[in-house]
Amino acid sequence: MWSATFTITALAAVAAVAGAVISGSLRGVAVGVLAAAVAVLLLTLLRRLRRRQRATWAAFEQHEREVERRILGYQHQLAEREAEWADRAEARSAAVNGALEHLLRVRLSAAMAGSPVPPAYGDSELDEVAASLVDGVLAEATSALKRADEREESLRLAVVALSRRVQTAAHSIQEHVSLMADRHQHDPDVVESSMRVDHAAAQQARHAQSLAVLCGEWPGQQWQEPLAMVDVVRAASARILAYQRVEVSGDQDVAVAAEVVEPVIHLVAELLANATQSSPPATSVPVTVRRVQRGAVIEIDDGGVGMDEHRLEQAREIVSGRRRAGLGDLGEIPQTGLAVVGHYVRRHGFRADLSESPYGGLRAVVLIPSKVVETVEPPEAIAARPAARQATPVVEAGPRTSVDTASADSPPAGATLPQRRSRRGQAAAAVPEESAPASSSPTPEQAGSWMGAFIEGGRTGGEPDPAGTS
Amino acid sequence: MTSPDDPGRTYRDTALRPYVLTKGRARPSRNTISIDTLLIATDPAPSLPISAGRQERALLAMCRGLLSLVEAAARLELPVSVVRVLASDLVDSGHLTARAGSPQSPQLSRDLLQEVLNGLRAL
Repeated sequence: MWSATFTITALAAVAAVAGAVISGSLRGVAVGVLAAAVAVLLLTLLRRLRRRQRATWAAFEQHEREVERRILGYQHQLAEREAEWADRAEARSAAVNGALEHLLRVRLSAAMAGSPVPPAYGDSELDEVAASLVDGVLAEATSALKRADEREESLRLAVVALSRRVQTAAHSIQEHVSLMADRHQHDPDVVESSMRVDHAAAQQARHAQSLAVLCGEWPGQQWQEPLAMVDVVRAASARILAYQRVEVSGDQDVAVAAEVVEPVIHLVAELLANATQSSPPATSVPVTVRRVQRGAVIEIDDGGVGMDEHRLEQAREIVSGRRRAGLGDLGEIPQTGLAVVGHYVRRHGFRADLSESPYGGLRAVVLIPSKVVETVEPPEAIAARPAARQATPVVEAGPRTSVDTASADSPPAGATLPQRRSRRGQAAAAVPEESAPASSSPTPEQAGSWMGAFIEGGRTGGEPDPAGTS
Repeated sequence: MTSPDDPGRTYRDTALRPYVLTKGRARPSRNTISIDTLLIATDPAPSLPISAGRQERALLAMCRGLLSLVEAAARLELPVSVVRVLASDLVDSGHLTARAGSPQSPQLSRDLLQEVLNGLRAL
């Protein structure tokens, strides 16, 4: 456009000059020159304008490039920041994930197990809000656990208290019917009825005792003297329904120490209960007692159908004490007895296992370690002794904390009580084996008391007064 | 513990309940056995079954010489009612022989015994 303007201006100037020349007049020349000058001026002006316009254009273009460059710069920065944010977000999420996983697998587990809770994992990478949320979850969970523990503990205490009451009541029934049987010992009907009541109460006491033991309490009964293991098994059978099916054989002189008499009786009672319940009613349940290198063993066989492999494995876990089964873990009744066995095994270091029995059902084997195994007189030796006190358990019925009856060596608390000995017995003492009574010449008081006892028709001789009876 | 009904009686708890020893029986298999029956082991004594309890074994062993039932009960520290059942079983199985109470032993009256007791207490 500029070149066209320039050309037109130049042509106009040339035309003006040419017109003047052609007209030949001076005035015409002057007009032509003027026109040419105007044209040149215009031309110069135009050129200048054009230069300026070019410069402006260039500046504009430069500015435009600058803007573009800046935009690019911004875009680059933005991308960088975006990447940075992405990295940060990823790191944060990783930290949160890590903290959550640590919370779940380590801290919550520790809290649930009741062990000290380790500090938060990678706290530095976690911002405050997330860290406080994680700690909040832990605090909430810990307090929920604590509340659950408290509820469980109060439930446990309630069950223990109730089972103790039932146990004490059952022992009281046993005591009263025993005394009744003593008073009417010449009336077989009364004696037989008292036996039935005694038996029912013994089972009731066992169930209550099982509850207490499953709640982690001690058995609630204690005996003062060792008891021959064959008698332990018979004492155990006294606490189950089908006691008449239990047949005990084996070493007559191996005994368990006083402190574990009750635990072993209860443990064997539970195994006998399972054995009699899981075998046909007409079959007997043979029990063998045997001394072994590491102590003594009680073997209980039943002629039932046994258990399938899976259930047997579960039952073995429980009786061996490998799996601790508390009150809350038990569904079925048979498991209760096994869990009681497991508790005693863990507490006293016995060993118990179940396997297939050659009789077809199950064989339960209990090993009593030698540190609580003793030797007692064989029954034949008891026969050779004078009619003195012999090693039999002393009462400790009910949940009592201590027994202050006299020990076996000192005169029993009931020394004033009848040492039952019949006049006829003294006559019989002339027989060679019975010559021993001379060694235990009674004091006048004793003589008087046994005589009194004889007249009263008291039940057994030398009964110590069971101290602390309820 | 003293019986509320009878202060003279005491209760001594035992893990071995009487019904286990007698297998639930209160009546002896034979009525002829009473507290003054004399017992003596059969000679030669057949061996007891392996499942025989310590009480039966002791009873049999102490009856190698003549022994009254009541004395046996005292030595075994068991109620007479229990020992009667045990002894009766052993008589049935041919391990023991029962004889009626010795006629030589004087049958003292309760009054006489009470007198003796009073005399002893006065000592």
